[in-house]
Amino acid sequence: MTVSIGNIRSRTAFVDLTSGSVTYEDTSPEVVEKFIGGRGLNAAYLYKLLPPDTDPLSPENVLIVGTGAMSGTGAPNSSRFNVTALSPESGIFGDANSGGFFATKLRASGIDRVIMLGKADVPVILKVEDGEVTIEDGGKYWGLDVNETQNAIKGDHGPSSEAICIGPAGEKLVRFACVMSGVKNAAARGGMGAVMGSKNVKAVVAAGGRIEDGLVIDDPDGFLTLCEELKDYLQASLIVKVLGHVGTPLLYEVSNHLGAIRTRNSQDSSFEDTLDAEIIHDHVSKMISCHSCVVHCRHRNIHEGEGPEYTTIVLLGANLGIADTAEVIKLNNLANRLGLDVSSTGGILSWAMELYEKGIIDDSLTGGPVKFGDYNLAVKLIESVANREGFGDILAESSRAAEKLNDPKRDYLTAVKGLPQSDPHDVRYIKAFALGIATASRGADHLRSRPTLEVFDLPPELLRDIYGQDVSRDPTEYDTKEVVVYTHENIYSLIDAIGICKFICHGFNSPKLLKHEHFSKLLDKAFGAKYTEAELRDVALRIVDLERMFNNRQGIRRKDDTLPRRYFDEPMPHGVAKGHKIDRDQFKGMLDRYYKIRQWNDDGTVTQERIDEIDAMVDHLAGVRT
Amino acid sequence: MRRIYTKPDLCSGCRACSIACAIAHFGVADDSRGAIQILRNPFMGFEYQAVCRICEEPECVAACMGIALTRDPDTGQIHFDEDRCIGCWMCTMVCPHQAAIPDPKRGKAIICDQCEGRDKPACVAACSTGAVTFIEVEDKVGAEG
Repeated sequence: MTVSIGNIRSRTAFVDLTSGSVTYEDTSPEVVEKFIGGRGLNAAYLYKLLPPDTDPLSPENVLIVGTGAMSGTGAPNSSRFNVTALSPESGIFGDANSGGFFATKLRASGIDRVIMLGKADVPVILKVEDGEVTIEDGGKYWGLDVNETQNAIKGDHGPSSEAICIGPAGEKLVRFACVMSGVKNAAARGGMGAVMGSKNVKAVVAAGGRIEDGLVIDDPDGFLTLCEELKDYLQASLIVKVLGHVGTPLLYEVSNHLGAIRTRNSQDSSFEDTLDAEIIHDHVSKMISCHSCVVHCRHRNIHEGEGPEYTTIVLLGANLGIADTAEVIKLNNLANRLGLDVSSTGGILSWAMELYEKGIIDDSLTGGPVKFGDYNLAVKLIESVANREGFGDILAESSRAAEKLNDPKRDYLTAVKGLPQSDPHDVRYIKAFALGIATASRGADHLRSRPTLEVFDLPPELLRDIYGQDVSRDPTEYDTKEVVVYTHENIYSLIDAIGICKFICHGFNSPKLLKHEHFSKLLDKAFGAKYTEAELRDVALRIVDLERMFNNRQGIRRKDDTLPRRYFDEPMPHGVAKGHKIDRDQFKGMLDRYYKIRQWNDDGTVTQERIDEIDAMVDHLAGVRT
Repeated sequence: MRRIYTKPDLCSGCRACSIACAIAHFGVADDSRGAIQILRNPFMGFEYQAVCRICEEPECVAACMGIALTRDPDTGQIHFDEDRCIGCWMCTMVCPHQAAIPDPKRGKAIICDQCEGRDKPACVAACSTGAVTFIEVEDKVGAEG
């Protein structure tokens, strides 16, 4: 072993829901070394455990809830965990990251990763306490919404317990149902809630542990000193201050001014100012946070919920043509209570609305008008999706509803690889965004890369330090943007494995936030682990390649790394971005160059040599189902 | 003398204070073992820091059955001898600030020691909002004798 992982803990519980048995293993140190935790180890386990030709909603799917190496340590913003499975929405790698309080409590309960196999006969909950997982009757919670479930669990398992759960949407196997941590934090993307529902698991409750179950910190005083230094360093950052003041809606005004806000299913690209951050803030009673957070970007709104994020106000606001601030926040709260991914919810509803308005579908399918700008209709549609009633049952199939919606080629759906786009930003203007959603391992998602640093007015030497070469500052330029996407994908895969929030990570909106040297120090002080910057960079590359290997196995090739038709064919209508679209040849060139720096084959597959190398690493996962 | 002073309005509920306290005292990242606890309820919408206020007439000391809790007559500081704690939970029941923390799995209470020996308490150092502070307060103890 070239790296010392110190005392990084990776206690994994395998819960066979069919037989009711639970077994445990400490993940092999050789695998921890290579993938660290969180998204990385989840990917390794899924790659190893998933049988071929699995139906995502069958008992054969494998649902993994895993914390990052630093999750729950008290390091700044170390609240994150990943939920991973074969996605029932896209049919490829399904992986969603969330914050809140669950990850910290799970680790304090003595377990770092829960792997759910098979299917329970009846609704159950999993309870994690004192280093053990028990399967308990969950019948009393089945049918409750997310808030009701979380409240009931607190009542039954103590106020200090923390749970992830599904809402009605997950129970009904809506393909974009999410897993909710608390009442607002969502492991949202890819339908992980539907997988949990398909296994008859309503919730996973972390109830605490004995002192010996807790995460032992290698150098307590050194670690606390480092955390304080990093906290002070981060809080001096302007972006951290602004996020703490108004949260992610700060991005709305910027994108709207640019003429790049997805509006009415991307038929338009600018919308009302009623969703500006300062106006949203009139509906906020307090800014709150996830565990150990130094940013505090989460709103407690005055409409009995938490949020909204930038993604929500656009996908459920501008994208549906709904401008009233309170109404949009209420839609956010409704989607959270029902356990729906707001990104796919907004993307699928707006798809249906455009199809209806264009006459591609009509009342015979929808049962009535499906139009933009109608709050009451949106409420009704969202509820009917979550309950799989009427037209909602069709929409609940997400991109798989294409045939029934009479749009078999998905010409009007803003999605990649079957996953509707989460980024509220219309990517026709910023070319790096376009490549980023085309190559993201879970489909059209911005949190796999969201590259922005290159367009800021940063000194050239700083840009070279970040990207390893000169890159174009022009957002509309294609050249060198493959380097930009590559770099951001790498840093995000690493931080998702470490278990820290992207908002304090140097790739996200600021070059000054935490980077490899900080992660090395944190891992050292917390666990005595010794990773050099180069070794951490290798971990990141490995995770991206492993996820690609998984997707290749599911049939993903070059043809799938593409964009919605509209982005190629229709120029943007407004603002600075007016007239911009994606040039097919230029996009192809960008993708060619991206494959080259990833050292993938021209057809988008990982090379056999690399497959053999990573297979050998994953093979160290001893004692697990093969 | 300096005291931990809290401002619930500024508390984001992140529990960095609790976990830092647990790390400082037990070497373990487990926020339930912090001598400062964040009472938070997303449905009722509050965050409140429960931490020892160093009462002038501490109920916990009066109620302690194992004589684990004593009050320094000169400084007013509450001292907790964990070895003498029998886990009867009287202190946790009588504390008006919910700041005597029961640890039923260890059978011991957890009581704030103001991080004696540190420049500032671990909870104060960890707080990112200014909701947990360490401030100079008027020394009434001496005047009272």
